[in-house]
Formats: sequence, structure tokens, C-alpha cells
Amino acid sequence: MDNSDQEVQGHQHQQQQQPTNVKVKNQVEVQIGLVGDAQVGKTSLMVKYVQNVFDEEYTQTLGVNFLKRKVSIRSTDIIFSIMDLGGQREFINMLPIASLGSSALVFLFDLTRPETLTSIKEWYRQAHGLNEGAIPVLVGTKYDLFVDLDPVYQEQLSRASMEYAQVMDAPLIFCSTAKSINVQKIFKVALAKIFSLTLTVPEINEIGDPLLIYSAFGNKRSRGAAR
Amino acid sequence: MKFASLSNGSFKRLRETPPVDLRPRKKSSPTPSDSESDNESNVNNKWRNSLDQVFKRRNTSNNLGRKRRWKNKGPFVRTAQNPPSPVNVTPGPTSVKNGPRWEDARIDSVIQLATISPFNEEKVTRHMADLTLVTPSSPTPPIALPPTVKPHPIFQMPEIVENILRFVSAYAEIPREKPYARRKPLSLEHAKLIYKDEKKAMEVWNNRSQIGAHNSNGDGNEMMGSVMYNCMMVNRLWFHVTLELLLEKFHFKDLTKFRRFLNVKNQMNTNKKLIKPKMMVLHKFHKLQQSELDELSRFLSCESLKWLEFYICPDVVPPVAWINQFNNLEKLVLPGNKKIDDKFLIQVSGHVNNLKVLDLRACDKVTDSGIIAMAIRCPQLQACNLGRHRNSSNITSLAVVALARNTDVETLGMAGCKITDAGLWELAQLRGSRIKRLSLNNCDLLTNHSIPTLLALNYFPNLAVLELRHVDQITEVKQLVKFKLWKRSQNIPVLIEGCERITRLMYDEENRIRKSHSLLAFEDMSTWVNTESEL
Ligand SMILES: Nc1nc2c(ncn2[C@@H]2O[C@H](COP(=O)(O)OP(=O)(O)OP(=O)(O)O)[C@@H](O)[C@H]2O)c(=O)[nH]1
Ligand SMILES: [Mg+2]
Repeated sequence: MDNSDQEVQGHQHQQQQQPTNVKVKNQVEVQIGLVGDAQVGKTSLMVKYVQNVFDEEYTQTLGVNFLKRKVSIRSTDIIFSIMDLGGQREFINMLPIASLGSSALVFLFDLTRPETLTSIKEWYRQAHGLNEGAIPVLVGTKYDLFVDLDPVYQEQLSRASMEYAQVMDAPLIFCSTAKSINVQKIFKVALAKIFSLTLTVPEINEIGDPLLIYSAFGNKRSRGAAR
Repeated sequence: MKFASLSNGSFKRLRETPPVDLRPRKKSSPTPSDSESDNESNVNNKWRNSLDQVFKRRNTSNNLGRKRRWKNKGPFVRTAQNPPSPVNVTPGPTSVKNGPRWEDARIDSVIQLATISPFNEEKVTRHMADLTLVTPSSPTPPIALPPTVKPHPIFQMPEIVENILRFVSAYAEIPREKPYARRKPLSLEHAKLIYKDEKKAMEVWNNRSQIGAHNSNGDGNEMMGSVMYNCMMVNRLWFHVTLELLLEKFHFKDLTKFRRFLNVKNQMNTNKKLIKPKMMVLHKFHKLQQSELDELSRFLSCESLKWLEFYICPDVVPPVAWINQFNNLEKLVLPGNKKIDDKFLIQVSGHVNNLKVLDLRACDKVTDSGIIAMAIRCPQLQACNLGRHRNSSNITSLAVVALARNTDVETLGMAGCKITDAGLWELAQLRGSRIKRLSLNNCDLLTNHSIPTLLALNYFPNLAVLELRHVDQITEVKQLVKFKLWKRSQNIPVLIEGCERITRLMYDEENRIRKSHSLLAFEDMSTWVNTESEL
């Protein structure tokens, strides 16, 4: 400090012009858990949504992955904390990490492998059992591969998944991470359900299309909106 | 190699017993350091030189007699060492005899200690962390060594002992005001507003007598205080080193003990040595007489004094002889003093170039002129507290402006002073961005034109604590709340201490702001979920 030659001058002009912005941004933080069988595309979906990249190659998730994404709209920041649980059976004991504290639980199955839809029963029973307050969302993945399959299979699987959605009282969304179909919608629908916001985006109900059904399911539970 | 020369250079001087060869056994495999052995004598000299300095320093700065006394007695150190075991690498008696088996790292740290000790105490203290000292409270009681056993040599090196004890003394208790996180609530209702939780509020309200209570009996640290006295019992070397450290930090909170100390000192006429404390604290001596202080000054010099505190010692002022020795003073704390006046401050101001903290709370005689004199001469002043309940018109905006203009002030206590909006504006413009704490309790001249407006314009971006109790003319709290929320959103919470009225206003305002914010958030989120866009 050179206070020696300070006198009146030294201090008087050192005051910098103030940043006049004392504005506060609203912050909304929501945690979302992703569960479902191995290789259904949980990690792919999370990475696509957060980093907007898609990798053909499969890397098994060991334990739990975690990524955050911030969405800024006007005066509000929405922060999605996404928990991705490895689908191998051995990680089932880590289910509480993904489930507890999550406002929404996304149950994923592979549209090309019907047995992964069957597994949803067990995933739902366990994850929902741990956190009944969480909003469930049912998501069928790899729609890009699904559209090329036999129309009869498509119809059967679509109907089956609607039944599951009904029982779970969960919005139903078919998506493709590879082709960027309905990826954002999953998180928008989840947020809308968490805060009971009115959704006006058009639904997609035609069998064979990438289904997006939110008005028929997921309205029984109405959670108290957070701040 | 280095270690060998260290032992040659130092232990011979300290111990009467024939020096043990502490040279590590020659390694058969050549190591990089082995090449040094060619010019070992050189290295030897270098090390010896630095050690010579150590001793020269001691001999010149301290009395020679003291050192002789350690020698006569011979070393007898009770250390809490366990006998050597594979785990405990500290060499015990046997390992010394058979040649040391120290870990290389350990040797290094001792060497470093030796070189640095004359110059860098802090570094040395840090290096002590390498040595696993067994504390007395360890579950296994220390094994009493037979008197013939030599303690670890480092406990006989005065420099090292001094550093060990310096470390201990850093934790010793000094009487002081208990720091408090928050001020006491003024009523139960007030507590509820502050804590927003009935239970917590009840608890705080019921325990209010304990919050911010002055710590006159010491607590928690009491034990550390006695640790210093225990250290004095180890042996002569430890006794003298400890005593010197105790006298360096001169503090009393018990007037009878202080008077006894004066008596003893007075009788010991033979000892002409002056005490030169770095710190001097007298705590709540309501009845201390000026004559007693004058007596004290016969064997006490203030030339090393960095911290002088008379905490509520109303009837005494530091003797004139001391003032002339205040050149190193950094902290002058004289709250609750009835005698301190402008004349005293003007006198002091000529000698306290390095002052950083000035606490003159409830020094009712002090007025603007005393403060202006100090401000002009104390460019490094960072904290200044002039809060008071009486003679409020003695301190006005003039003092604030002088401090703002001439010092580095960051913490400013103006409770109960007659400062005006204009004074605060000037402070804001001169030093606003540096101000961290501001106490404006009972500043009844302040209005909405100063603090609320200044915060709205963000003149005090680094403010962390603002005390604003009983400032009746401040009615506009929206800006205070906005500022608080803005700081919180950056994770730098700011504490605004208001009286019940201001806290209530802020509470309501905060709820209003929150409500409108969450409405906005809902609007924003609704917009977002309904916009069509794929990533
Ligand atoms: N064609 C296509 N392939 C996908 C899609 N989503 C994921 N995949 C592929 O499916 C494989 C598995 O994806 P992951 O995201 O690693 O699966 P996961 O659910 O995280 O698997 P675990 O970590 O084992 O639980 C990868 O090879 C991805 O490239 C998609 O929408 N379309
Ligand atoms: Mg995965």
C-alpha cells in the first residue's frame, strides 16, 4: 500500500463507478431421475439434452451419472439436475440416489425391445415406492429404429405402452435421441407436471407417430407448486 | 551429510554430554547427495554459520545469564515419547546409541528447521507439523523415562522449543469480548421475525442473556491457558522460554492478580530487565488506578507493542511515556474510557503511523477533532468504532469524512453518533466499494435519502454487515431487501440487523418480493414449456 504520498488526492478518485445492477434472477432447481433397463438409452438421452451430442457407441454406466443443465428464460433460471442410474441389476441398490429428492422420475424403455417395457413394472414399483411424490414420465426410446419395424408390432407396442402409462398415471413420450425427436419435450412435460403448468403444445396421438400424450395421464396427482 | 554437519555444529554447544555421532550410516549405494561429500567441509561451514547466527541472535538479544542456567543443570526433559517401536520412528535412547535410524524425510525437516529458524518463524512452525509429537492427553500414558535417558535432541534446542511453545501460546486464552454471530433480539416478536421459526425464536429469546455476553471468566480456552503453565514445569529451558512468551502476551483480567504481579515485580529490584510485550490487555479493571499503571511502566516498555487494550478500564489512560513508544502499535482498543479525550488522541496520533484498529466505543469525551487528528495520521486504519450512548453530538459527519478521506477504513462503527445523509454520501463516494461493516444504530439524523438510496445505487457492493436499529426516519426498506436478496443470490449473505420495526418492514417486503418473483417464475416456465423448439 502506498499511503505515503496519499493525502487528499490518493483516496478521492479511486472510487470506481458502481455496477448498478442489483437485480436477482429467480432460480428453480429440479432434480430428475432416469431409470430403466440396461442399454435403453438413459445416458444417451441425458448427454443429448445437456450437451447436445449423440454417441452411437455404448458405454455401460457404472453406478450413477449426474449432469446439470441451466435453462434461462427472461428473469428465471431453471436448473435441471439429472441423475442417470446404470440399468444393470447390480446397481439397483443405488436406486435411492436417483429416486430420492427427484421431483420427476423418467422411466425409459427401448421401443425395439418389448421386454424392456415389461421391466418398467418392476422399476416403477421400486422407484415410485421410494419416492411417491415424484412425477412419473414414461418414455419409449429409439423411435428412429421403431418406425422401420412391422406396423403391427408398432401398433401392439404403442397400445401396450399407453396401458402402462395409464396405470402409472404418467405422460407418455416416444423419443429418438439419435434423430432429436421429442428430447426437449420430455423435460418440458416433466417441468409442467411438477409445477402444474398449463401445456398447450399439440399432443401426438396417432399410432406410428412419435407419441406425446400428456393430457390423458398424469393429472390425478397435483403437487403443491414449489417456489 | 547435511545432518551430520548440523549435529556437529549445534549439539556440541548445547549439551555437556559428549556429542553422539548422529551421522547416518554410510549407504553402500551411491546417491546423488553422496557427491556432496567431496566438499563436505564447505557445507559444514555454511551450516555452522547459519547456526552461529542463531546463537548470536540469542546472545545479543537476550541476557547471557539465562543460557548459562540451562547449561548448569544439564538437560533433563520429560517428553511424552514412547519407547522406539517400528511405528514410532522417533529415535529413543537405544537408537541414538546405535546410530540413528531416522527416516530421510525426518532428517530433512530437521535440517530445514535449522536453516530457516533465524529468519522465518512461520515456516518453521509449519514444518513442526512433520514431527509426530505425543500429546499428554493421548490414551496411553507417557512412559516416564529414567533420568539418565536423553530426550530427543530437538527438545533441547532453544530455537525449536521456542517455536513449539509459540505454537502453544497462540492458542492460549486472551480475555476478550465474545464474538457473536447476531445481536440479541429486542423482543420475542422480533426474534420470531428474525428466525422465522417459532421454536428457534423461543430458544434464542430465552437464552438472550448469553448471546453477546462479555466473556469475563474465559471458557473453553481456559485449559489452553494452563497448558502454558504446564510447559513451564518441564525443565529450566522450557521454563525460561515459556516465561518469555508469557510476558510477550501480557494480559490480565483479575485485578488482584495484577496487583500481586506489580508487587512481586517491585520487590525484584535486582531484575532491571524491561518487559517488552507485543500485546497488552487489561480486561474490565473498573478500579484500576492511574498510579498503578505508572508503576507498571517502570519495568515495561511499549516499543514492541502491537496491541494495546484497556477494555472497560474507565479511569486510566496509557502513560505519556508509553505513547512515545507506540510506533509499532496496530491495535488500540480503549472502550468505555472516561478519561480519553481529544488531547490524548492528538498526542497519540503523532506516534501511531501503523494503526489498523481503533476502538473508542463509549469514550464519551472524544469528539470530531480527536478523530480527525487520528485519521490524518493513520493512513492504514481499517476499523474504527466510535459508537456511544452519550454525548452523541460529539461525533458528526466530520469524523466520517475525515476517516473516509484519509484512511483505509472498511469497518465503521457510528452507533449513536450525529451523522447525516450528506456524511454517508461522502463516505459512499470516497470508499463505498471497500466498506464491509457499517453500524448506524441510533443514528437518528439518517433518512431514506442515504442508506436505502445508496444501496439501490449499489454504492456499498461489499457490505457484509449493516446495523440499522432504531433509525426512525428510515421507512423505505425495499432497497435493503433487494440488496439482501441480490447478495444472497451470489452466495454472499449480508446481515442487516434491524430493530423490530425495520425487521418487520423488511420481512413483509421480502414476502411481497418473493411472491411477485414466483409469479414471474411461473410465467417464465409456462412460456418455456410451450415453446416449440427441438434443442
Ligand atoms: N438408434 C438409436 N440408438 C440409440 C438411441 N438412444 C440410445 N441409443 C444407443 O443405445 C445404446 C445404449 O445407450 P445408453 O444411453 O448407453 O444406454 P443406458 O440406458 O445408459 O445403458 P446403461 O448405462 O447400461 O443402463 C448406445 O449404443 C446408444 O448409441 C436412439 O434414440 N436411437
Ligand atoms: Mg447409461
